Amino acid sequence: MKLDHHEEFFREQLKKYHPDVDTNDLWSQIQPHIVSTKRKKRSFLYWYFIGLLVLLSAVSYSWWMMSDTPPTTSPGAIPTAELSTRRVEDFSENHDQPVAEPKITEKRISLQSTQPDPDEVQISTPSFPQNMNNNFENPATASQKLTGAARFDDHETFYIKGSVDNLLEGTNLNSSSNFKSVNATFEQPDLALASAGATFPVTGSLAFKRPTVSPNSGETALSRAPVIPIDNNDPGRNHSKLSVTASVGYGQYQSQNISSDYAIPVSNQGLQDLTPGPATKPNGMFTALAGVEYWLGKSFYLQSGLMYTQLQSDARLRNVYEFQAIENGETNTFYSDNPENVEITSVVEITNLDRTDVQSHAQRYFLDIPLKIGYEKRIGRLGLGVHAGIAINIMSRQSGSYLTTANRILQVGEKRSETTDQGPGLTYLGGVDINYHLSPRWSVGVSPFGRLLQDTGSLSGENENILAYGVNLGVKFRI
Amino acid sequence: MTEKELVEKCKEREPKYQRMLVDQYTPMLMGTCLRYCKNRADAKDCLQEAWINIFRAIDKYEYSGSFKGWMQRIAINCCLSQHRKSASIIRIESNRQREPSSKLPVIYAALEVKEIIKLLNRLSDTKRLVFTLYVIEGYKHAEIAELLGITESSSRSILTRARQEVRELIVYFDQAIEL
Repeated sequence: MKLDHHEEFFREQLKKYHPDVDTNDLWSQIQPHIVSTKRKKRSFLYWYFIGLLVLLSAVSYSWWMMSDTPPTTSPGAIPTAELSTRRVEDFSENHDQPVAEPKITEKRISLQSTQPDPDEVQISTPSFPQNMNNNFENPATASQKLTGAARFDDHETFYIKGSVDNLLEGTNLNSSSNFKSVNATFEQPDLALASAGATFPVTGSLAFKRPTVSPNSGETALSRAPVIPIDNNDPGRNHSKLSVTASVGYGQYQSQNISSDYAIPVSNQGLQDLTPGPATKPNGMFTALAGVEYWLGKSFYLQSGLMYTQLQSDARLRNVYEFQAIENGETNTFYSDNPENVEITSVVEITNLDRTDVQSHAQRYFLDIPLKIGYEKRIGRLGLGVHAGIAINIMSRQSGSYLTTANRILQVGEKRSETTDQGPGLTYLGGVDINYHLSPRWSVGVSPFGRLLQDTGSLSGENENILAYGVNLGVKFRI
Repeated sequence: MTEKELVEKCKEREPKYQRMLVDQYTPMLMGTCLRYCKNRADAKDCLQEAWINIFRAIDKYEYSGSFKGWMQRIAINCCLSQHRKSASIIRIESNRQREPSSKLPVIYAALEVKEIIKLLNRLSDTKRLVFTLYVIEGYKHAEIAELLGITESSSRSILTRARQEVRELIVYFDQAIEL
């Protein structure tokens, strides 16, 4: 395109012409048309944390439902509102018996107003697990004082609140100290309120507040929380003893041997034993499982099948520099991956500098047969459980590869890889399960897990225990 | 905040950042709309339509090109769409050849932007659109043909006449000033 002078002039002038516009008026006109129709994308950690919180809340709820011991309070504690709630006995385990008149029991819990925040509908401090473990000799000496809180609020249905303080001054069998506490509160106004926390250095703490009357604002949505319906024909209960399951998961691992450091070193044109630089990505783990479960009664099951695991360390780069230095009147060429460490005597001048990249990868593949035992506690459609077991390795293979960039230093870009079979190993498995039963046959679940792999060999020939952790997402079908 | 971060926030439908985007780029887009509309009121209508379309389509923007360019294209499309609605202005005019004018006076260099816009507004709609798309925006004839629903040869022909007319208008401006 060839433009005349005046056209060039017009173009320049018009392109840079940005007239002032009243954006307030404009915004008021366009805003109704661009009303948010898409929910905010939630990060993986966001949902992970929510899932974990729900799990902890549900477990604590179960504990609370089973506990009949009312907590005592300290006379010196900060004033609390004593509120009484009622609960219906859980008949979920008496499926063969007709549901009789519900047995009403009284339970007293304490609620404490902590910080005046007009945005908060309900404020509560954690109810510490007085009988949850023996570390607490007298939890009634709790001095529940909240002096700092951080709050994450999505302005929709819940908030998470964290706090750190001398929340509990208790007497511990092992030590007597001021315990620090971190708490998170979850509120879904139409269902319930739950809080979970951790107390250091003693133990984790869990609490669940039944919907009740707010000390600040009278009746709240929490008091309208529905009782989870218990149905003897509850989905998933009356079925065969077998179910099939499939899951995929992602996580990370810690290993010294399965590392891109062990990829084949570069040796080319005087570059001897050049190893890759520091990792640019965390060591990643992918896992998939297909299996069968055999149910021993309503709550316990055995699981086996085939489990695939891939550990990968990659994307390690290192720059290689070339120097042309004039030394004693002669031009010599030097190579190094760290130019600051090059010792060149009588260097007159570094006249050139160039670099290349080395990428290396190391992967380890496992095929295992897992043997797991699991427990699931059903609360309506929700199933909460734990599992533990071992996985016997039937195939293990490790590969390493590197790729050099073709340039003036390394004349030819080169890619090499090497694969070796590894010896058998054993893996210890453990995790928690959160399942949701969609129908009598189908359920989906999320399962944070940890694994300890006893590695019996790698490219380095060294044995190693590998710690892996991640989250599985799965689906189950009851046959 | 970088442009990419701002776009990401807008993709998440965050009103605060949507407003920020509007504040930041409205003058530029208004400038674009003014090149295609006969008056400021029409340009504001197009600008409003352009912003609505931008926010509706922002999910589809994948950073493959300039974000400003992407927004400008949407604004231009809105303006053209507005033209199509108002009248069937895209018609091929007669191939009447005109005598080339004498040497162009340098008066154009003294024109202000608003005068340039006025000058271009004296062209017929078709000529103005083709001239603006080709000369100002840098579109190719194939793209212009597709946008306006005409053939490439028509686009070339219209551009030739538009360029000639612009030269004549500049001479006219020069003579008007001398008088």
